[in-house]
Amino acid sequence: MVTYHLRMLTIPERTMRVQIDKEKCEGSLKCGKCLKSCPAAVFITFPKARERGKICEDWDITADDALCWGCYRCVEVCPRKAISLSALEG
Amino acid sequence: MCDWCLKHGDGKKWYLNVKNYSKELLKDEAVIESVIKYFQNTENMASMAPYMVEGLLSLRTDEEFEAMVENVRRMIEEASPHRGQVVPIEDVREIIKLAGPMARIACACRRMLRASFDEKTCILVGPAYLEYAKEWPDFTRGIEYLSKEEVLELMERFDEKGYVHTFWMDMSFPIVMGFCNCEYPTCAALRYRRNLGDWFNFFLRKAEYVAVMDYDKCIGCGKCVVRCQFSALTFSPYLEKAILDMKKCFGCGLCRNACPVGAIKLLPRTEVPAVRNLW
Repeated sequence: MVTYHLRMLTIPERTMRVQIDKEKCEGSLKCGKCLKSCPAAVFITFPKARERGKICEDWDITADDALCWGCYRCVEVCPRKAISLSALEG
Repeated sequence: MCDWCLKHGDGKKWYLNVKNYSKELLKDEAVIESVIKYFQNTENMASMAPYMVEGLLSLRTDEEFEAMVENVRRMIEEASPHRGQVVPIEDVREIIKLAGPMARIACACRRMLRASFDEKTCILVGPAYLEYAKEWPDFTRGIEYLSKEEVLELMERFDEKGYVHTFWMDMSFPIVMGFCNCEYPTCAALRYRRNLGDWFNFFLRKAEYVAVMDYDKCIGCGKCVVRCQFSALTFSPYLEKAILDMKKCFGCGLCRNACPVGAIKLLPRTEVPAVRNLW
């Protein structure tokens, strides 16, 4: 059964590169417009350091661009023009 | 019935075995460690996904690929096959009957993927996760303790709204964790399961049921099609009916609940030959 599953081991085809300029980005908790508007939910935000008993207000952001559909919605909505999209060759 | 269910399900579905709801499990240090690891690291693990894809795409030779497949195989063998499973509303009701105290918290996935802290659709069930919820306020933001009646009402509302119910257990131990109410692609589990394919089913498993369509009854209104989060339902302009791909069906029952003429019913997956081994 396991062998059978592994033959089907697939990963999404990655055709786009999503880059976030962390210098320009205001942060996901303050702004978060890209996360809220991306139809494919490509962006992921996560706490930089989570401690027992504390609320973390400093969250980092990354993009799982293998899931990107290439609609450019994030580039449109980013108020600081921190996101760039480019097509990957080959 | 799989081996794991025979071992931890007492011959029933794993989520209906009352032993998995017991406070006894909290006496085990390793269980507590696993619970804490979940509250601390969940989002960080999801944020590793882009790096994993990067790693997979950079494989060039057959040997490299074989080694990676071997790693994945070992990981699947060690994991429980029922980390998370889709559950239809009738099983949700059964689970709530068994459950002790429950609480709702902001959904971890919508927080991670939408920066939304208001969608309180995750329900913690069972003593282990509730015991440590307070110690991790960053994870359990907006925690609200609820009665059985309140949880049931909430779950029915989510069903109406079109969220797929999933039930989860701890990563390493047969101890229940709680409900999620998911949608594609804003649920990390559901979207990776859909995007990566069936080998990923050690993480999210299809329900113990599958939807079956009575095509004579279908009037082609299309109400079920918009409810399906798994692309199993399509509208056929030629037949003027909805068509159901049972191989893609996860058995959540959302389409059945929306059908005005009762053309869709849920059957136990093991009774339907075409899909009985597809999890």
